[in-house]
Amino acid sequence: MHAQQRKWFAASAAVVLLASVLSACGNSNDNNASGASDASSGNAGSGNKEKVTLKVEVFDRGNAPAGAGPVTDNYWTQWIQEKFGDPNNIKLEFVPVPRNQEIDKLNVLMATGDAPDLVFTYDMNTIYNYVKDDGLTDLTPLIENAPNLKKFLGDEALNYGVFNGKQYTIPAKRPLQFTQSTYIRKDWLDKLGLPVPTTTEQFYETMKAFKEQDPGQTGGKVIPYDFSAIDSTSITTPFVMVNSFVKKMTEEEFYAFTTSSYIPELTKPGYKEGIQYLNKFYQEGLINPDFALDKDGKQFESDVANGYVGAFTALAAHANLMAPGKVFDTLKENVPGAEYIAIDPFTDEEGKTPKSIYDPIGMHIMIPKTSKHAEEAIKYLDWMSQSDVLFTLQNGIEGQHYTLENGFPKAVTTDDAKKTFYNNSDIAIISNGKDFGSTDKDIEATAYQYPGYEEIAKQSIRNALKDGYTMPRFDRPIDAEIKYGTTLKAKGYEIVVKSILAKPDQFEKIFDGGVAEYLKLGGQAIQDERRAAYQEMKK
Amino acid sequence: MNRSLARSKPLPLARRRQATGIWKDYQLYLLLILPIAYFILFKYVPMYGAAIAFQDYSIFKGVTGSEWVGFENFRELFKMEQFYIVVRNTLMLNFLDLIFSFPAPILLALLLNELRVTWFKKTAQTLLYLPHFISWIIIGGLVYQMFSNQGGLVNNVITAIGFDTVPFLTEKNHWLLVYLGTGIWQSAGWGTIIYLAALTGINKDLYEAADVDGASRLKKMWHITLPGIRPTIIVMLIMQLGHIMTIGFERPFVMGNTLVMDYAEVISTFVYKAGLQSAQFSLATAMGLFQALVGLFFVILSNTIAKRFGEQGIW
Repeated sequence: MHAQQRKWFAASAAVVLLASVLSACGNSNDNNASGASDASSGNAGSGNKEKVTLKVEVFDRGNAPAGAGPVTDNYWTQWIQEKFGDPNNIKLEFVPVPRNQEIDKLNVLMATGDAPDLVFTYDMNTIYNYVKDDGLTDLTPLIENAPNLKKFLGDEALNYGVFNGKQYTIPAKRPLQFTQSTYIRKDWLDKLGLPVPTTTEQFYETMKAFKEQDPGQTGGKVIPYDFSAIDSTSITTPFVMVNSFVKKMTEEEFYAFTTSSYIPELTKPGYKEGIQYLNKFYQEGLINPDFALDKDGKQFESDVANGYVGAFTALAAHANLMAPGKVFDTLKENVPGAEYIAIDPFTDEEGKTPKSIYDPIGMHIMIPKTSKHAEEAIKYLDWMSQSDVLFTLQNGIEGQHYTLENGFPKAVTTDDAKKTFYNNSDIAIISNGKDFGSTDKDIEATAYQYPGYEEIAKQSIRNALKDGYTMPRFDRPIDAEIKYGTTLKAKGYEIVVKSILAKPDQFEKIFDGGVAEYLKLGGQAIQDERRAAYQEMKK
Repeated sequence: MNRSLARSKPLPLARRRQATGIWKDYQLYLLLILPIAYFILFKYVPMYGAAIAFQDYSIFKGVTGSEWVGFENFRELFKMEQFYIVVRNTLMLNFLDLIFSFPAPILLALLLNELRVTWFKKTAQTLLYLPHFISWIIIGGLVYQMFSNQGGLVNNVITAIGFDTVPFLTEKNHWLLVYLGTGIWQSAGWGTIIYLAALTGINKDLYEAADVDGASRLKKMWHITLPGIRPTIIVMLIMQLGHIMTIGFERPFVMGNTLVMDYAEVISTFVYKAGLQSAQFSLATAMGLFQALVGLFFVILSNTIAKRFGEQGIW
């Protein structure tokens, strides 16, 4: 019996081994096969006979209203199929990617060799990796056949997508480069008879008054200045305040000390004072002591909606705050008379209110090398760039989704409109924001998206643009940043959070010790490489 | 085994001897095909991916096309300061879990076993199982609502009776307590199942004999119940030790926050960040492979020790 069993065991073990060997072979065969079919279907594509399937990535923010249909099949996917797909004999398929896991999911899609024909990301390191590994289709020849696309984006934007002299990505256009503005409760200011703060010092005094006099009668729950976890994708930030402490630098220092991918810029002169200022806020109970725990920003939103929050800094004109039924609307229901206004109080040594703003581009659109339908993909983008198509995609159908007011589309807020118009900014991938030809017009047009909040939307955008500066650009990726970026980002956030929450006598130790560790973990390598790249560029 | 066979009816014994092998019990072997296929497909086949650890892996070239670099990734890994921190944290969290969470279901099972009122026992069991079915994401939310500094339930009570706020989630040592406590709360009830099953296997005669001898409840627990489930405890312990380097992803990831990264950054979260988020697949795989090797070492070690002490072990 024993011998029999053993024999059987040996046989099954052999099967296991064999199976794994076979499957490995199967895999390599697959690769070859897909390579072969790549070539053949490429030929077939130019014949334009068979119906081709074009796969397009789409962000899924999990915010589809009830009855609207998922991001992969709704009013607008059908509209695109009808207007673009059917006439061109193309079947469109939208591939959903969760917004807050876009990089993970994209990497996985690319690794399987089955990525959609059109993918995109904001993350530069991911793009550098793809370029380095030769995973993207060279679009240089293809965009020559896309006159609308070229005209819409213009050379400036397109230039951001050139790596090693080749057009590897198509950057979306960003007509308005704004990021953050600060908001404050106007009714609280009025109640206490305080002026709108215009300097950092005044802002501090105002926050102290909010804390001590509790104008909202929150029963001690008041959070004068609020923000959520800084390592998250939430919309708030304390860094506008921190950056206002940063001192003047030479251009070389500016290039060397700046970091990409939101690594805290700990080594900029004056940054430490900024963090120390936040530490003072914490000591005096002016910020939320639990901010590091609010990883998705939901606690922040609920605190604002409940009327506990005096001021905060967040993305300007943001839908989470101002769209119908969102935070500001809820606040009005909960606390009658509550009203926020947009302010710009964080002044630097020169009295300016600097903040970093976006490049004039949005996300980078790419076509993976595995795609067999690069031509159709570019055709899709070119179709989308036509002004009437883009206008419709961004604003909907007149009467149903918007009405024209002073020449600007104003959102219709009926239930039907909400159902058939909710993720259009994620569909119109070639533009981050609406383009009406001039900054003023663009701001005006954006404000019309938020009925009831037009003024604060406009003011917040103007604040966010004031004294804005863009990140320095190099003509090549910084390798050390790709390598150490994620580690350093986590480390940097840890140092910042711990320093903000430090006991005053330990602040120096925690911050300076942290920076030393940060430099050792690769921060120094990044700085050195950036400095070298700068000097190379200036030669 | 022979003894148990001998005790059963003598006639079929001879026949079974003759017709042993696969054909006799082919139905059972057919049933076995499914689990075996599962292991081949989902456990053995993916192992070829471990090759990534020895390559400069590019997602576009795949396992077959990437360049081989030998132990380069391991060398880089062992040079990283973070490596030692995440290994230390993983060992620490698992070791503390072993000390505090491992005995919890045993104690609980013993207590449940002593309950005489059936409906109460059943209700208690069901309630204890419940946390097992709650996802860590939700537990993370619950913990936040309970233990946050401002507005957290527990801290509200603490401040109401006149003490200072306790930084349960923002100070690393307090966080550790919450982490361990949550683990016990979540898993202890479910863990009792296997022990309760083992308890039913204890011969009732022993208890009756003890009653005759006038043994107290505690004495019976100590001299009959515990020895009765000892083999189960040992096997569970071996399995736990095998997992001492393996740590679930969700629990530390969801419960951790920037302030407690000194403790909360563990192998699984590190692999996630290095591999999936920053696309350093080779490094992350090397880490995973290293983890598996150490785990294997622990399993063999604890199994050997168990056998030394005259227990059964798992093979």
